[in-house]
This record gives sequence, C-alpha cells and structure tokens, in this order.
Amino acid sequence: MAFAGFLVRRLLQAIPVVIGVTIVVFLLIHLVPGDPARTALGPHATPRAIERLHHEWGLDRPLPTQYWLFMKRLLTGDLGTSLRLKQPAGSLVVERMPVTLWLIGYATFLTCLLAVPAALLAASRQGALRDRLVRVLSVVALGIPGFWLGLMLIEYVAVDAQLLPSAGYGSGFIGHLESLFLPSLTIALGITPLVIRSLRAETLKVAESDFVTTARAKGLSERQIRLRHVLRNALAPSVAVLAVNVSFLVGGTLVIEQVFSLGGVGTLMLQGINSRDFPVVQAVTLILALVVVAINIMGDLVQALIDPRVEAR
Amino acid sequence: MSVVGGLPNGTEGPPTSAEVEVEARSPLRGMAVGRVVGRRVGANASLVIGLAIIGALLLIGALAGVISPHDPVKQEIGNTLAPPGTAGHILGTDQLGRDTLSRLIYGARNDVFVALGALVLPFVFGTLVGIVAGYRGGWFDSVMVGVIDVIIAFPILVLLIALVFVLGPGVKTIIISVALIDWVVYARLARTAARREAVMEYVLAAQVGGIPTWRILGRHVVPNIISQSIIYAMSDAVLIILFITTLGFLGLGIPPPASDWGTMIAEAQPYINNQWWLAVIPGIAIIVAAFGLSLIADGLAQRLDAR
Repeated sequence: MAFAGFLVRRLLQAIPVVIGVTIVVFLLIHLVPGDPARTALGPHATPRAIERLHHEWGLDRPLPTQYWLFMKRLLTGDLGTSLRLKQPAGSLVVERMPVTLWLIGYATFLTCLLAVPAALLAASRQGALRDRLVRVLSVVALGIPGFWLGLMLIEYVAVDAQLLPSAGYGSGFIGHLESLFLPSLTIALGITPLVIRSLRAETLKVAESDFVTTARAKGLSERQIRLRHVLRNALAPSVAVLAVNVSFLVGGTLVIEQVFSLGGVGTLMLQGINSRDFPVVQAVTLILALVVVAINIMGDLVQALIDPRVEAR
Repeated sequence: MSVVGGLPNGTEGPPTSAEVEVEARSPLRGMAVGRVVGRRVGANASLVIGLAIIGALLLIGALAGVISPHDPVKQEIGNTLAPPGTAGHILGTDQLGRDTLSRLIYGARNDVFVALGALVLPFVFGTLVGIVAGYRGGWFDSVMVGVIDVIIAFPILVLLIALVFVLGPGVKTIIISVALIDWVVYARLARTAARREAVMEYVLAAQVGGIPTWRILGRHVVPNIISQSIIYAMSDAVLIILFITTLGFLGLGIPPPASDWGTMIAEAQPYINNQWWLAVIPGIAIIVAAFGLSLIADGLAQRLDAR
C-alpha cells in the first residue's frame, strides 16, 4: 500500500512541473522577435492572412487570456494546427512517436549493457589500470559528436562492410532491432560516459559502507560481497542516474533520427523548423518534455521497487 | 532561518574596523577565489595537457587571420574536392574549392570561442541565483527551485533547438539560448552547496561577528563552494561545444559563410564515400577540443576537489 501512496505522491508532484512546462512552451512563440504571425507566414503574406493567424493564435488578446485559451485547447488534446500540412500538430507527433520511443528504449538498453559492466570493472579496483582505462575511454567518447559518429557508422559499418541497414525503421520486431541498432548505439555511446562516471562513484560509495565491512568481517568472499551487497545497493542509485541522463538521450534521438533518416518526432521538428511551422515545433517540444517527465516518474517508481528506503524520502 | 535570528539580513552596510579585525584574526578567514585556485593548481598531467590543447586552439582561433593560408570563404571553382596533400592546400579543398585547413582554423575561432563565451553568462547568473536561494531560503528559494525543475524537465537539445529557432540564427542567439537553459545547472549546484555552508559553524561565527551578508557570501561562502562549479563548467564546455556543432550540423548554427566544424561535416555528407576526409577532419577537430576541455575538468577535479 505504501507503494500506491508513493505513486500518487509522485504524480501529484509532477503536476506543477507539467504546468511549468506548458508555460514555457506557450511563451516560446512570444520570444520571436517582431510579429510571430508575420515570421511564420513569410514576407509575401497578405495583411489579411496575418490578421487571421493573429486571431487564430489569439495573439490579439492579453497574455493571460492567451495562456488560458492555450491550456483549454491543450486539455482537449488540441495542440494547434500545422501551418504547412494543415493537420492537427498533436496527431502528427503521435503518428511519429513509435520510432522515437523505440530509439529511446533501445538506446537505454544498450547504455545499460555498456555502462554497467564498465563501471563495475572500473570500481572493482580503484586507481588500477582497468579503472584508468575506463576513465580515459569515457573521456574520449564523451567528446565524440553523435551526428559525426552516426555518419561514420553508416559509412564504414553499414555501407562499406554491409553489416547493418544504413537508414530506415525496418519492419517487424526483428526488423526494428536490426535497423535501429546503429542509431541506438550512436545515442547510447553519447550518454554512456556520463552514466559510467556516476555509476562508478555510486559503486565506490556503497563499497565504503559499514555493511560491506561487516560482510567482509563475516568472512564472505570478495565476489559474494560485490554481487550480493554492493551491486544490489548500487542498483537504485544507478536507476536514478539513468533517469537523469534520459534528458540527454531524448535530445540525442532528435539529431540521430535526422542522420539515419528515420522520420520520427525529431525529423518532424526539424521539418517544422525549416518551414517555420510554429505549432509543430511547439507540439514536439511539449510532448518530448512530457516524455522526459514520465520517464523520470518511472525511474523513481523502479527505484522504490528496488529499494524500499526510496519511498520514505 | 538561522540560530542567530535575523542577523544575516540585518547588518548591511560598510564593515566597521572592529568587524574587519574580527575577520582578519579568524583562522577561518575567507580567501579570494583566485588564491584558492592558484594555490592548488600545481603540476598535474591532465590539467597541463588539457590547458595546452585548449590554449593552442584559442591561440589558433585568435590568430586565424594571420596563420590561415587562405581566405576561408574564397572559392576556387577550378580546384574543388582536392585531396589532402595538394600543393597549396595541405588538407585539401571542399566542394566549393574552399581551403579545408583555413576553414578549420576559422572554425576554431567560432566554435571554441563561442562555447567558452556561452559558458560565462549561465555560470555567473546561475551561481549568483543559487547562492542567494540556498543561503536565504524562503520564497525566493521556492520559486527558483520550481523554475529549475521545469527547465530540467525539458530535453536540453530539444529546448535549445526550439529557442534558436524562435530567436533566429546567429551567435548572439546561441549564447542567449544556452544561457536561458544552462544557468539552472549552476544554480542547482550553488544552491545545494550554499545550503550546506549556511549552517556551518564558520558562517554562524561570521554572522555573530556582525559581518554583513554580502561579505559573508563573497569572502567566506563563495570561495568554499565555487570549485565544484568551476569543475562542472569545464565538463559543461564539452557539452556546449557539442551543442554548437550539432546546431551547425542541423543548419541552425553560426550562419554561413562563417565556418563552423558542424557545418563542415553537414556539407561533407554527400561526399563521404569518395572524399571521406572532408567529414573526418572536422570531426577530429571537435573530438580534440572536447578532449582538451574534459582533461581540464578532470585535472581541476583532482586539484580542487580534495574529497
């Protein structure tokens, strides 16, 4: 029952954040220097078309009224209408969401696969060669731009070596796994160094705890201590570290989708930017922020499941 | 909020000579930020190598006009896509016959300078806000925590791209957009640290000693908490350089014809099969710059963060 209470509390805590997110997204359009309607419609727009868009976006009313209208439409699922495609921006985003969610999930999985063993290896003997090696490799990897790495993987792994598809989403579960491997790997490599760094520090912190000393005094082998005590207690903080880094990961998908021509939400946003389609850009920004909020809540719930002490916080 | 009821807020004004004397005698005397940093920065391999790399890049960028062999925007239509090693063009030319080396050098000016420049605003503003919020608490703290939570909820790159889009392209836009988002990280760091320090005995002692709040913050609290932010700033510079080149790659960065490493990679995409060096060379430049900044961060962390 305590878990249900935690879930409710966590959801309630998210409400002010979500309201804040809507305010930021709402204000975006007011940051446009000059008249946003004129900017959106281009230099050849007629005064009447601009007038109509002013009215449609509510720009002719006071700011609080505009926000009220924005929220009222939002609550009915209306995120505005794309200027170029003449379709509801919300459904455009939802249509393209599966690829992006696949990328986020797949990249998170690959990040765990890479970061957890590397961090445990590094933390198993602080200051040893393996520790320094992991550190140097992650410092170098952190500086590799994702879009460049993606291009290199396409050129050398997909095109030259013909190992994996270079573009597209594939079909069916296996097809997705295959087609999205390189893009997910690219995204994962971007955040893996950050995750390794925090995980290593968390593991070292746990390894210094009193209960580890007790376990050692009890005569457990180092291997047993590491698996049963250190790893288990480092797991909850690791989930927290992952959840924090998802924010980077979601941003990464946007660029990598473009590199691998995947046609997800990121591609939609960049198309929206090229055609000065404000409602689409706003819709993508809002929905991706909500995805991050949802992932953070999920991260907290997983932590609470692993470690009951988390609920008490 | 504090044990000595209201003292920190009630003693503004120039310090009397007695106050200065109390402060000078204290073994917990505040030190100027520069001295704390200067004393602990000794010989340190990662720091030295990192500083050398970034110093060299900054020098190259600053002297771009003198050392670059060609005009980075001058096109030689008869000499396009020349491979590295071509006479007169050590690193070859691009699809418009522009000299790759010269574009790389001017890219150092744009990318490294803009990245470090973009760091200053969020660092200063975020740290100030964080220290005041953490030290004073109250409504200001609550509001700031709310704002920070909201901005952190956005995927950074997505919000950055949206901001650059609405503000229109340009270096000024990049600096403003980075500042609007990035200050929250510094604010959070400084707030946590300031909250921790505010209840420490040396701060209470300074409050009892009647030292004005601004002086406690400036001479006692800031020097004790700033090292963490400085270390973070260098890691942050890595991210900002990646953001700026990513913006360039997406066509939202430093506007052409000015050269930028990200734009160079974007332009090289169609030629990657036969002229791979066009994409590889600027990529290596980004990695080297980011590596230099990471080394500085690493070295500073070892020097400043004794814990």
